[in-house]
This record gives sequence, structure tokens and C-alpha cells, in this order.
Amino acid sequence: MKQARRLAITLLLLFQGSHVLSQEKVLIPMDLSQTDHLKAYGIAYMALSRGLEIDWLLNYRGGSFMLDAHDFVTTECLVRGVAFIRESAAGAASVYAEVQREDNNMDVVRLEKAPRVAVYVPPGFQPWDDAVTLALDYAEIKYDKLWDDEVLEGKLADYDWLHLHHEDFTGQYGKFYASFAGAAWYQAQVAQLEQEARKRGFRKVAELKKAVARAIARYIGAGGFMFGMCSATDTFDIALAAENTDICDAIYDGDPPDPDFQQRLDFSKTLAFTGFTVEKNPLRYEYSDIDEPPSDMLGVQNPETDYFTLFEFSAKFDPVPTMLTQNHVNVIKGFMGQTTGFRKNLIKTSVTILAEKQGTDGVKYLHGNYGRGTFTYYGGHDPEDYQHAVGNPPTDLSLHKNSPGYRLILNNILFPAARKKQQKT
Amino acid sequence: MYEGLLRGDSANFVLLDAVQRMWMQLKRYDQVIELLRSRLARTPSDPNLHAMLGSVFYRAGREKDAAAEWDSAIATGPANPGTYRLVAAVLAENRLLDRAAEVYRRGRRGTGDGDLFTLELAQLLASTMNYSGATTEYLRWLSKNPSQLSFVQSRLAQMTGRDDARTAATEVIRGALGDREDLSLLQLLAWLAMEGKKFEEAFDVYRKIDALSGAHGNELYQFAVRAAGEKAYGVAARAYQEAIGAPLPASRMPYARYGYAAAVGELQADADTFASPVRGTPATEAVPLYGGAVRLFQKIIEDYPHTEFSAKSWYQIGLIQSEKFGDREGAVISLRHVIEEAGALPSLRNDATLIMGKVLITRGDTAKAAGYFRVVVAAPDALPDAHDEAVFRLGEIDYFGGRFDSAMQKLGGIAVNLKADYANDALRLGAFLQENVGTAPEALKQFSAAEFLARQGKNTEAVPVLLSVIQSYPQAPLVDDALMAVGVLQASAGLFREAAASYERLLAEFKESSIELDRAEFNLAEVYQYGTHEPARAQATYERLLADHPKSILAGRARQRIRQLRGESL
Repeated sequence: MKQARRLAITLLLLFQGSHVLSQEKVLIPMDLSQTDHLKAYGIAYMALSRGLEIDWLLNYRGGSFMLDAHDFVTTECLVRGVAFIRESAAGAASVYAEVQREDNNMDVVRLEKAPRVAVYVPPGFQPWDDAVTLALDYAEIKYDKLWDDEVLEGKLADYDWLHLHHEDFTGQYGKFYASFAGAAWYQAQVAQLEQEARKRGFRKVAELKKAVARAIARYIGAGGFMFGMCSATDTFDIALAAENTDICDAIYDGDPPDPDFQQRLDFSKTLAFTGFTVEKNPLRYEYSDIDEPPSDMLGVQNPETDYFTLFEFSAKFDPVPTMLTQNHVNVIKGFMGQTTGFRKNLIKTSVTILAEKQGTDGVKYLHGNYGRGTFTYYGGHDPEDYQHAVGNPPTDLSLHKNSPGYRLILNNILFPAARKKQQKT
Repeated sequence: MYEGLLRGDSANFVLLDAVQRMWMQLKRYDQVIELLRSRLARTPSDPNLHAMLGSVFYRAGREKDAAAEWDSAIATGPANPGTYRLVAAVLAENRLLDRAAEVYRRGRRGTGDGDLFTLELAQLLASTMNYSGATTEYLRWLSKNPSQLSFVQSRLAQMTGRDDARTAATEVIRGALGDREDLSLLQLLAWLAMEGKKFEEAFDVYRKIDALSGAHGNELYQFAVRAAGEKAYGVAARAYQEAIGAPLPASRMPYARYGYAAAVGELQADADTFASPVRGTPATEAVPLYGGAVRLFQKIIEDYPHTEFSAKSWYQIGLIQSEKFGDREGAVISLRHVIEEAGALPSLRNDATLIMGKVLITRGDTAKAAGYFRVVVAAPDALPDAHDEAVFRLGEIDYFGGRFDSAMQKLGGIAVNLKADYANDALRLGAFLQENVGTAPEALKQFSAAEFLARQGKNTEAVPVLLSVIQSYPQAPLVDDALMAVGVLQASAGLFREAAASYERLLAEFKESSIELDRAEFNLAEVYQYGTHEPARAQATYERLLADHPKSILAGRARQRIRQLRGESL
């Protein structure tokens, strides 16, 4: 018996590969003392990928991470410029005790496995298209790119987490027609999508995109995690609602929309929004009344006063929204997008609002369950570029290492790594 | 309302069109079909009605009927180009772009005119990403309208931002060119190659253009200037060479000669593998390496004496002599020529004056050096940066001469302007003086003397002076700086083990007091990386720097070096 135990310990040490002082821990603080919040998520992801488990200390120093003090972890923290603290066994125990005290709104969530990440982007996409790929690249988190073929062929089942960004699931090519109909990139995009649609037996791009949206909804329903930003949020729901009707004008699909398409929208199929009105003007750069503020009102926004506020949740009773809102600040500067935010009265009651622009009807960040999976929507295009235009250069995240707006994106990446726990409420 | 009006005036086409548009908007396709059929019964050979009916069939999902109707439309006037245009437009409206293109091709056959619909087809084909087809059509247009090269180029430019489109267009143009010598096609080909930054390909084409157009090297010269601007020095140098040999007209020749010499100089700098962050290129290696460029500049001076070209060439030679060859006497002579000949080029003259001053410092002649710096300070045409540098150098001369108060006064003037390029240097030296002038004036004098020796390249004399400062004034705030300077001098002399020992000593003996510890660790890691070639040790030392001084200004560079040593892409 004793021999077997010794053998087991020896094997365990061999398996671990690098030496670790027993019970010594590394604390990666995520409060204002952190030097690079975004790369800290990459450290967590790297550690998970190498088989370590991580404790996410919700609401403790901005949502810090605690893990075993392996040399490779501390070396990588040094190399990537991530601040960390070595904690003795006693020091770590004291941190855990503080986090788990009943009168503190904190808790520990164990992260177990690096999520397999997929990003839905068209072939040859441009860097300005996607804040999430910028964040993932900067944090050194691996991901695969998927497009319509892979989604329709069921490849989503290979991934835990899917991200959608500045895509248009309504088949209106981003509603860029009024501004860019003559641009070569726009025409190429239209031609490419039309070819793809015909190749897969769809007469219209809108039909292809609706099928893709339904496939993604099925993936979520079967337990997937979906994170959407910018126009991928409202257009996704619009596409699901418009399953049995044509909302596209002739300039997009060659025939007029159904005259009664608004009445034929089926809101029971959507994830987050209900009762919305789809925009009828094909030349207006707006899909529906979900977007708050609407795209044509963005000019009156003042970046100096545009902030949104994160809600605080009970870490012990509502760990999921708590995870998604971990941050070192709770008031975050706003940013625009084709879809900047979401009108509150059009959000389903089952959806949890995570952040809003106070004093307005605008919700910036929300989360909900769909079947066995979950979705999160985050309004706006690039948290560190207030008004990002087509063709603008990508944001250099090494200049925004502590971006609270980008942190919200990366919270979502780690969220699927959490051990499932019985919901208390 | 429209229906009522049509019932009252059933022959009115405007009303019929209005009704069919309304019904189409309401997707009442069966009613539109009925309406158009009834009208067709009256005017069976109206191509417009057939085309419209085809469109309704298509939108109603009756694709075969639609195709038959469009065929019927064409059959009403198969020799009339307008019929094909009408049907193609309806097809394009229904996003059937490939079929619209096919109708235009059919129109060419039907009318017996193979050049019809060229621009329409080109536009359609580009929209469907058939870039080869679009280019073929644009070339057809060009062959009929040879004066419209710019128009065709601007149309192609709308699609050639994409790599695949550019490649397709290039292949089509090459195919069309075959063995012919067509100047317009060659110009398009060269333009595409430059767009794709394929300079070698472009060079080949420009050779042909130059020969065919009788440009006497002018086309090659223009290409060389653009290639050099893109830092493609190899191909630029060859193009300059061929332009010179063409030969270029005499008025262009000195520009090309200077461009060629400068490109060769850049190529030689690219080939300089001897330099490293810890040590410059030894003169024994630099002379053969940069000799070629120097000879070319010398030849320009011989052939174009007392011109801007000779002044610029003297300047380049002076730079190489002072920075690469360590030939101070030669540099002084060259720079004197620049100052004499650069009358019309004030910025060149002021730069040369500054370099002259610096070279004179390295010769130990600070009085003469100061004279040159004062000239720049007083020059009304000196740029602010040049003016600041001259003041800084004057401060440095005071420092080397032990006139610390005067030095601090000069440095203070620059340091207050934080936008000045020399503000950092001035702040650094000023703070160093302030720290030591009151507490260890004697040590400071010896230290500055040692720095002056080092500036003259007298490293073997400077090191013992610095070591003596360390020994004699162990309490002076500058002892760690002295040890650091010893390490730097040893490394630049190739004494890497000794340099490493000096840095280690600094780290061990001054770990409580020095503010240079991060730099010492960084320098030590560099010695291991580039001097003794011990990558593992270098990596460990960079990592130690990050652990000991995570907020150091050098942390970013240390991280970059670690990734470089780990073979990761940066």
C-alpha cells in the first residue's frame, strides 16, 4: 500500500514536469496593481492548456487568479509583463479565507480546462473587423477561424466557445450599400457571398445567413458558449426571428421584402431581444430599433461623457454574471459600433443585464441562457477606439494593456473553463 | 388607385408599369404575370414586356419560365444591341450577374460585333471576381482606344488592391503581350508589378519600356528612384547602373550617379554583419565593406566638382570615415569640403558642421570643436534640433574640461524644452553633474577626464582612470557609473569576459545603492547574447532583470530579447 502511494507520488511529480514547491502559490492580481491585465488572461489560458487548474478569485482584487507556483508560470509572467505575487502556503490560505468569508461578496471558481475557441470570420477578413481577434492575439490565446462552410458542416461541435463580431446575419452585407456600393471591397464581398450561397444551394445570401444563424443557435442550445459583439448581436436575433419571412430590399437580394415581414417576425426564436421593429429603409445604416443609440445619432455622442456602468452581482449566489463582470473598475468608457448598445425595453426578461449606460435606455452588455448553453452580447466595435471606421488601422493593444473594456471580452473566454456548479438562485 | 386608373385606360403603359411595380412590391406575382401576359397578347414583340415578365417568373421561383421569357425578349431583336442590354440589365437586377455576362457574350455573337459591351462586361466580371475576364475586356477597350491607358489603369486599380485580382490581371496582360512589344501593355504590367511591390519583375518590364520608348535610361532612372524609396536597394542599384550606362542625358546623370552610390552604401550597410549592440564594426572589416560606396562618391566629386552632388558625396564619405573607418583625419578633410561647397544646402552644411565638431572632440581638440558648434548655435538657418545638439555638445565640452557649472547652465537650457530631441541627454548629464559636483568634485573631474579619453577611443587609458576613481572614492555617488563605464568600454573592445566581470561586480557590490542595476543586468545579458554567444545565460540574465526590476525602462526590450532567444516570432 505504502509502495503504491510512493509510486503514485513519483509518477505525479514526473507528470508535472517542472518542480513546484509544495503549496506555494502564484497570485496574479487583477486590480490596479496589475501591469498587463490583458496578457494576464493569456497566462491563465496558457496554464490551463498545460494542465494546471486555476482559482479565479471573484471580486478579490479585481478578479485575481491563484495557481500553483510552477517555474514556467512565473517565467511566463515575467516575459509577458504580467504582475504576480508569490504566496506562501499560509499567505494563500489567508487569501482563500478572506475570499470565502460569508460577509464578503467574493468567491472562488475553479477553472479546469482551456476552452477550444473559434472565431467566426470571413476568409481574408481585415484586422479592423474584429476586436476579439485583436484581444486573443495580444493575450496569446489560440483560436481557430470558422466561416459558413464549417458552421453548416457541424464543425462547431469541436469548440467550447464561439465568437461573432461585425457580421451581418440578415443578408444585407452590413448595410453598407448607401456608402460603399461602388467600392471594390464591397462588390467583392457581395460576389463572394452570393457564390457561397449558390454553392450551398441557397438562392439568396439571406437564406444562407439564416441557416448559419440557426446552426449557431443549435450549437448554443446543445451547450455551446457564444459571445457576440457589435452588429453580430442584433442581426443574429433578427435573422432568427425572420426565419420565415424576407426582410431584405431588392438592392440586397434582387426582390422586394415581404410587405408584412414585421408581422411575420417570430420572436420566440430569438436569444435576447423581443418586440423589435426591423428597419425598412434599405439605405439607412441600421438594422432595427434594438441599437441604442441608433447609428445616425452617434454624431451627437460626446466621448468625454460616454461611460457605461457594470452591475454588481452576488459572487456566491450568481457566479456566472459575476465572472463576466470582473474588472478593476466598474465605470468604463463607452465606444461606438454599428450596434453600439441595446434598447432596454426590447430585451427579454429572462436575460441578465450586466452593464448599462446610466440615465439612458441603453444596455451595453448582457448575458442569457439558451437551451443548455449561454450567450453574451456586448455592444460596440472596439473598446479602445471610440469611433472605428472602415479601413482604420487596428488598435495597438500594447498601448491599452489595462483596458477595462477589453477585459470584458476576455472574461468571456475563461468563463467556459469554469467547473460547473449548482446554481444557488 | 393605379388599378382603377388602368381599368379606365388599359392601353396606357405608364399606368401598367405603375400597377406591376406595386404588385411586385406586394409580391403578388401571379397577378403581375396575368397583367403582363394580357399586355403581351396585344404587343407580342415588345422586348421590354418579355424581360419584365421573365423577372416576375424568376422572383416567383419559376426559373425555366423566366429563362424562356428572356430568350423571347432577345428573339424580338437578335441583331439589336439594345435588346441584349435590356435583358442583361434585368438579369443583373436579379443578381444573376454570370447570366447577364453570358447575355452580353451572346449579343456579340448575335450582332457579329465582338467589341460590343466591353465596359459593361468588364464591370460585371469584376463584380463577380472574374478578374481575368474583366482584365481581358479592359484590354479589348484599350486596343480600340489606345489613348485611354490612364482610364483603363484607373478601372483596373479598382480591383487590383486584391492580391488575387492583381495576379490575374498580370497573367492576362502577359498573355496578351506574348512576344509583342506593346508600350501600353508594358506600362500596365510595370504598374501592376510596382503595385504588388514585385520590384524585380518591374525592373525587367521597365528595361523593355526604356528601350522601346527610346527613353535613354529615364524610365530606368524613375524606377530606380521609386525602388530606392521602397528600400529595395539591390534592384535600385542595378537600375541606376543600367540607366547610367544607357546613357542618361547629361542633366540627369549626376542624380543617377549619386542615387547609385547611395544605394550601394545602403546595400553595404545591410551586409554589415559585424556590428552588434555591444560592439561596432572593426575598421579592418569596415574598410573593404564600405570601400565600394566611397569610391563611387569619390568619382562623383571628380566628375562634378563644387556642385551639390560633390557636397553631398563629401558628406557621405565623411560619415563613413568617421563612423565606420575611424579615420578622423580623413573625415575632417571631407567635412571641410562639405562646409565649403554646401552653400545652397543649409541643412547639409549645419549637419556637416556638427559632425565636424564631434570628430574634432574624438581628436581631443575641444577648442576647435567648440568653434564649430558655436557656428551652428549662431546660424539663423539651423533647424531647432541642430541648434539644440550644438548647445548640448558645448555643454559636453565644458563637462570634459571640468567646467561643470558652465556645463550645467548650457544643459539646463535644453532640458527645459521637453520636446527637444536632446532634452533626455541633457537631463541625464545635468542630473549626473548635479548629483556629483557638490559631493565628490574630484572624483567627478577624474570621471569626466576618463569619459573624454573614451570619447577619443583611448579605452585602454580610460579604464585604469575609472578603476582608480572606484578605488579612491568608494563613497562617491558615481562609483557605480564608473564601473558601468568600464564594462561598456571593455565590451566595445571585445573584452567580453572582462566586461561581464565588471557588470557582475557592479551588481554584487552596489546592489543596495546603484540606480543602474537594471542597465547593468541588461548590458550583461547583451554581452552573453552577442559577445560570448551564450544564449541560455543571456536568457536567464534577461529573466533576472525582469524579476529584479519589473518596472525598468529596459523591461520591454528584455522581453523582446527573450522571445528572440526562444525563437518566437516577435
